[in-house]
Amino acid sequence: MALRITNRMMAERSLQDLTSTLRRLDRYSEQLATGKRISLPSHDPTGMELAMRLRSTLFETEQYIDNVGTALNWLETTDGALDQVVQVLQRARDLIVNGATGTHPAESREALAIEMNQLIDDLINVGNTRHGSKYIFGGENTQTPPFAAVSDPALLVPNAKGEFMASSLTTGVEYKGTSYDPADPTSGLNVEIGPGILFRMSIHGDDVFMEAFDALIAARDHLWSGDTEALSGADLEAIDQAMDTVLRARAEVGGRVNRLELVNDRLDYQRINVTRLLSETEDADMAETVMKLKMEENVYRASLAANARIILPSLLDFLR
Amino acid sequence: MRSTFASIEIGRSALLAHRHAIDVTGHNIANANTPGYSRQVARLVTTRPYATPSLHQSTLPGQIGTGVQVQEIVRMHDSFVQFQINSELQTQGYWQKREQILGEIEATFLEPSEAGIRHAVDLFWQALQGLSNDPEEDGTRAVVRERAIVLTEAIQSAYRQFKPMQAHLESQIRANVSEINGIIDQVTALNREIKAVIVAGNTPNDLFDTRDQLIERLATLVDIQVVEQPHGQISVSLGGVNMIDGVSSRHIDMTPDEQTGFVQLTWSNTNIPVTIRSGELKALFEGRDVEIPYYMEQLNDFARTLITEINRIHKEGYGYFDTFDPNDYPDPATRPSPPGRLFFNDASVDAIYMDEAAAHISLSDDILADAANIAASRNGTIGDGTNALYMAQIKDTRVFGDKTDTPGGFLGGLVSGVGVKTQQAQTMVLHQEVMLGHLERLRGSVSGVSLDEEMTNLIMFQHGYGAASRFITAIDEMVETIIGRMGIVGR
Repeated sequence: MALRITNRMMAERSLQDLTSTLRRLDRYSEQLATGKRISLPSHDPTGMELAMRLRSTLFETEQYIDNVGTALNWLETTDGALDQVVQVLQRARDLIVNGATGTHPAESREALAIEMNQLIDDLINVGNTRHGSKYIFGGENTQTPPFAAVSDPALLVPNAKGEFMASSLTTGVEYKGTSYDPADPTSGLNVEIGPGILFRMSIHGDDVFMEAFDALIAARDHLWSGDTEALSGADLEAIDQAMDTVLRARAEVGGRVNRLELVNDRLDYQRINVTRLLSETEDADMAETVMKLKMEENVYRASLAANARIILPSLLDFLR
Repeated sequence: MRSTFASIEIGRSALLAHRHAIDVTGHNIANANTPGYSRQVARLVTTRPYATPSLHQSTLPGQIGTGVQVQEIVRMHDSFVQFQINSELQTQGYWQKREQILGEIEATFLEPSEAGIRHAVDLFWQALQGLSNDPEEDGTRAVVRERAIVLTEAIQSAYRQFKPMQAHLESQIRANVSEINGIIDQVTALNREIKAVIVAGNTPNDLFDTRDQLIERLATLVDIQVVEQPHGQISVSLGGVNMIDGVSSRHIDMTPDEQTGFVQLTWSNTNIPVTIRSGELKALFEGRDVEIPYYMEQLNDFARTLITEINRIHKEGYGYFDTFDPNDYPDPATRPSPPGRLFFNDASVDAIYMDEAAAHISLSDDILADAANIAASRNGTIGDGTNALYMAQIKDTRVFGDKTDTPGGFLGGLVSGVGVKTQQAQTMVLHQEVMLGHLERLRGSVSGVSLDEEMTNLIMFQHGYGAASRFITAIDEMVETIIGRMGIVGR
């Protein structure tokens, strides 16, 4: 059936068409103004959900990168401290070798013992290194110095002349930190470097320092008392063992730093990827949107022009 | 034998008929833009010709016409198209209202933006991570507390928007029902009037138009069935119950529900509930009783799970001042046990904290009093942030939504769910607009006033009128000849 067209029909039809064109124009200009393809869930529910997920992932990844940074700083401080320990032990070994030669007079050995005593204090200081407000070698006891000197005057050893080295000597070192428990995955200080992936950044002081303290204290006493046999035998062996332990710890720190750097690279890559995906999901393609806007604008102008021509004239215009 | 003045009678009928037709044309032009107006056409027919066959038939050859008359004024109207329009209007009313309601719900989630719950949750997890890295710092604790407050406020403010929305729907329902009752009265009155006109032998075209318009409005509101009855009357039923039957009618009563305070609809003077399957009112009821309660419950569920999970872990940890040095307790059995503080208020404080969790989610007094009470430590040592980390790891645990979803996934699903529904409603509205647009064009094609057409008719009738006048003048002159000039021979 051929439609009988009336003026009102035409007016309504053109209004309807103009409205839908305007609606699209509005949508495109909103996209241009916000730069976002999605500004309400209904614009693209699936894209919206993906965008929400990506946004959370991005947030999370940034936090992980932050955590890795924290751990790297921590390990750097740890490595620096361990380096100092190595130096102290090196010097202690020199002193022991020196004192063990037996040709030295008792006075010079006593001088070596006094220096050895200072090395013990140095080592305690290194053991109490802080990173920010935390003692790094105390495990989870970050607020108490992990190493405290124990002195007991009764245990002091006199030299050949019956003299004492000092009124109070460190006869032992007490560890006040927590110990590593291999059975507990969260033992020590951990940061999360991936969903559910814990990274232990702390080195527990009791695993690294105690042997060194024992070796140094024994050597000092032997130097003081002039026991060259012990110095060249047990003491030298003990200090070498202590050195081994520290070097192993340093190697472990190095290994952890390597791992963290790999993780960091991966996280950086992930951040870039997720950022790109997020942008692809929710950002408006400016060139495309501008083009679409222009096209709609043309349609709008054309239909306005057409309506202006079509609606106005009727037979009335041509009757006198 | 015809009378001398019979011809004048023909002229007179032509004048009258054309005047009549011009009036109809004028009425059409006047109502060219009246919504719901159907154009009218004066149907011109010849009057009975002279003479009728009989014994005393005139001897004149052939039958002679006696003029013209307007037999009836026809309303150009397609009742099938109108029926289709009515049924599409129900669907359109439903989807339009639904789109509006879902659009409002969708907007309450403030996604995608930095103001939504998801962002607040992300910030909270981040703060907990920060706390786990530095449990000794006051600063990280304060951040956790502030972000937790931001999170509770985000949940509460989303939730609080639902109640006014529901109340608004309720008032729309009341207004719509009053309108329906009003329309019932008006249509019943029109039925009575129309019957009176038709019994008197006329067609009440304009009353039909008015009634059609009322029915259209009624169809937008609810899914009615319209049945035509004798004498131009109609009956209108909803869910099998006649609301209008000729001149008798039945109203809809509103009774507030005792529990919710929201109105329920029953047929007047009965206990029979009104069944509505489509139309605006259906969408309003769905919004009030299904959609909004659903999203409120989802938010409650989210808040409830968050409270339960965070508290469960928080209770097992130690706050800043609860920590101890494990070296003081060589026997692990003698170590202080966790103080078991709440992070969020829960049912142990007041049942409302779990019943309507999203409305009341808030930090416990312990945490509000001192951020040091946030239990970051799992094993009781001061530098341990494992408990904070465990709380942060809830972000990756599937404990939400019947233990199937992570918190982020749950929120994403919730928001994209309402997005999908809104999108569907929008598509349906566009679809219905096209459909109705087509039907209205069909109706316009039959019933609409074309000014070109009316102007053409006007010219036609005007000329007809002029010609008829000229005809009468001619007869007048002829009669003048007989009366004035005959019989004056030899004067």
